Amino acid sequence: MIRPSTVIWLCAVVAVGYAMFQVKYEVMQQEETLAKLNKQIAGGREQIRVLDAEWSYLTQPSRLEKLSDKYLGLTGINSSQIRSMAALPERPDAPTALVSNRSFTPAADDFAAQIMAPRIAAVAVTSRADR
Amino acid sequence: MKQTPQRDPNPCRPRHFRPAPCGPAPQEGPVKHSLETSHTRLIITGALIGLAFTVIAGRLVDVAAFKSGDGRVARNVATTRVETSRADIIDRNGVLVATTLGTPSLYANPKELLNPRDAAHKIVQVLPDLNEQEVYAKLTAEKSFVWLKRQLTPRQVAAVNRLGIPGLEFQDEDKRIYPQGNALAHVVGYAGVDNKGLAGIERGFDEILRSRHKPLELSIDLRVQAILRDEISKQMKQFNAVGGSGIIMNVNTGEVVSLVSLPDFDPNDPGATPTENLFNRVTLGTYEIGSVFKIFTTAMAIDNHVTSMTGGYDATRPIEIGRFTIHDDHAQRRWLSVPEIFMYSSNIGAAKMAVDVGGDRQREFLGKLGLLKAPSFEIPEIAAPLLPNPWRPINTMTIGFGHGISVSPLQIASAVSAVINGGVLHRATLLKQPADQPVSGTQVMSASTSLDMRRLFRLVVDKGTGKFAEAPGYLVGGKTGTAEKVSGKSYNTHSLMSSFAGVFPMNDPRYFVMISIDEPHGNSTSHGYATAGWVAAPGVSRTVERMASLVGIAPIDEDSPDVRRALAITLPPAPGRKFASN
Repeated sequence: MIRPSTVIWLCAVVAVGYAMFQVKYEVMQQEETLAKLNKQIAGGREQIRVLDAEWSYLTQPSRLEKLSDKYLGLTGINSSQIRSMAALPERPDAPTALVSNRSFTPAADDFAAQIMAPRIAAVAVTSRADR
Repeated sequence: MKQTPQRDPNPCRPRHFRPAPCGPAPQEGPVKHSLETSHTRLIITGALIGLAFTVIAGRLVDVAAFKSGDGRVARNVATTRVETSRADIIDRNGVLVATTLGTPSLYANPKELLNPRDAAHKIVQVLPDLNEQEVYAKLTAEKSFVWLKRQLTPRQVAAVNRLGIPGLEFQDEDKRIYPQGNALAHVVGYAGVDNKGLAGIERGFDEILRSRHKPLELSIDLRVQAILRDEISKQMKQFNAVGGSGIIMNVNTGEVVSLVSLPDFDPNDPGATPTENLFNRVTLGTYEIGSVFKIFTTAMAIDNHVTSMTGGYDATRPIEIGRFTIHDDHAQRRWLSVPEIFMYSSNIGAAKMAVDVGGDRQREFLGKLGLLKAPSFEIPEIAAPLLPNPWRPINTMTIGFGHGISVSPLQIASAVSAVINGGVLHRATLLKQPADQPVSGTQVMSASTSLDMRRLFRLVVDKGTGKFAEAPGYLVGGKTGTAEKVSGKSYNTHSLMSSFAGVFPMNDPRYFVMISIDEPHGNSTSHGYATAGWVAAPGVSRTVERMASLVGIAPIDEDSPDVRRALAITLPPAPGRKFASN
């Protein structure tokens, strides 16, 4: 005679077994997806490396200079074109407290250095024509 | 079997029902014994199995509830990175200068090929540099693997794939790529096909590049490098020179921002260039640098209190010593003060100054500046200086104005930086130094000597032999040096080495810039001169003008009182004194 508890246990075993395999297959599937994604990431990174190299090749300063001479006709920055803030004439209606008359204050020089941050100035150098 | 008949109540019962189904049968003797044995065995087995299940259950609870597993399942979740056999090299702004890419190489499996004749014909059509006969021979070889072509371009790969020939396969091989080409050839060097560094940083840092993943950061600024290279090659072209070199150094850290040696080569294909182009003039070449050496003579004399900015020497007559005559190129034929000796580049004055200091102190001073032994540097192409042996009084004199001693431009760069930055000698380096940490160095002269030298440097460009090095707003200072090159056993007056060693801005020195032009020929633009003031100084001027805004140096007003005070020199009045115009 089959006792009720046995029936319950048998059902439990079947259910747990089913769930276990379900989870197992799901994990396998996820792992497959993961491996695929990892492969894609690795491929993407390799692509980035290639593109980095190409970018560096295409932005050679000498090449940019040639292109700029050909298409832009810009010339290099002359030192007379760079002025510190303090050297600018005052605006007639500007509050005088904001503008110092002293030339070459440290703050002004800092500002000059800032506006000539390398990345911006890079555009200028590469567009220099022969002089 | 032994039975007791009178005790059996049912004699007809089946014999195998024993003991009787009902009523306790008397157990005794061997039966009882064997029952007890099996009972004990059952208990032991049951206990063991129970124990095993308990352990399994315990482990289940442990894994499920407490997760004390070893995590082996989770480990392969971590993403894989691109493993390369060599780390990248980048410049100080992060621009890629050397990288390793997996490059496909084409191989064939002849056993899988259906029609080798046709395949060879098609392959040669898309890869024209292959020979059809050779390809056919390879494709019919009794092997299952033959290389057809190493390291194809992506376009070639696409073309080969389009042929659709079964039996052709690709395999990735690591190839070192230098996207900046010639620009950094002598700094970065190159690596061979087996990924072994053979020159420059690639060789000096071979082990490190192989073992790390983080890119190696150089102190070089590629933009400045391109400017310096451009200006040197312009000067070389204009004066029809055989070679040129240049170095830009941060005087306060010893970082080499630019290093150029021309002619150079393409590190992607170093075999295609003549061997002499591989020669690094800045670090491996040693030269008699001429009057540039007067920087050290003057600094030495001032630092040893042998003379001062107001002292001077008689330069009326050339010095005759043995079979040598020391005379001036820009002869003034009178008593000259120390600033005048420096600005007119008087050999007589410098020789007398050196003699006053004496050979021993001269050697000690030059030694402190690192000019007497090979410098330590990150690339293996390093030369030791050529020194006189023994160090006679005549050597003391000639070394005073830069003859009889050969040093590399790299050594000059470090030494001049020390003279000008306040007297601290830093080790020259090609690696970017962290900006927030002070760089270590040794004090090799007093700060006041260094201040005097700054004034003298500025004077040379302001009024002396280096006027063409002027870059408005950037307060360039420096010293010219024109040396006759040694050919055989004597000096050749027609083959010169013209150098200008400059520093800017002189009120707060930041960068040392030196350009040397090898065997320049004077022409109409220089009135026939091939001396440093005409040949090298203009290159320095343009380099400074172009690089200053890139490195964040704002032009200043040269006539502002602060600057004038910092660089003022009172030239003592001398009878008939006039400034030369060259």
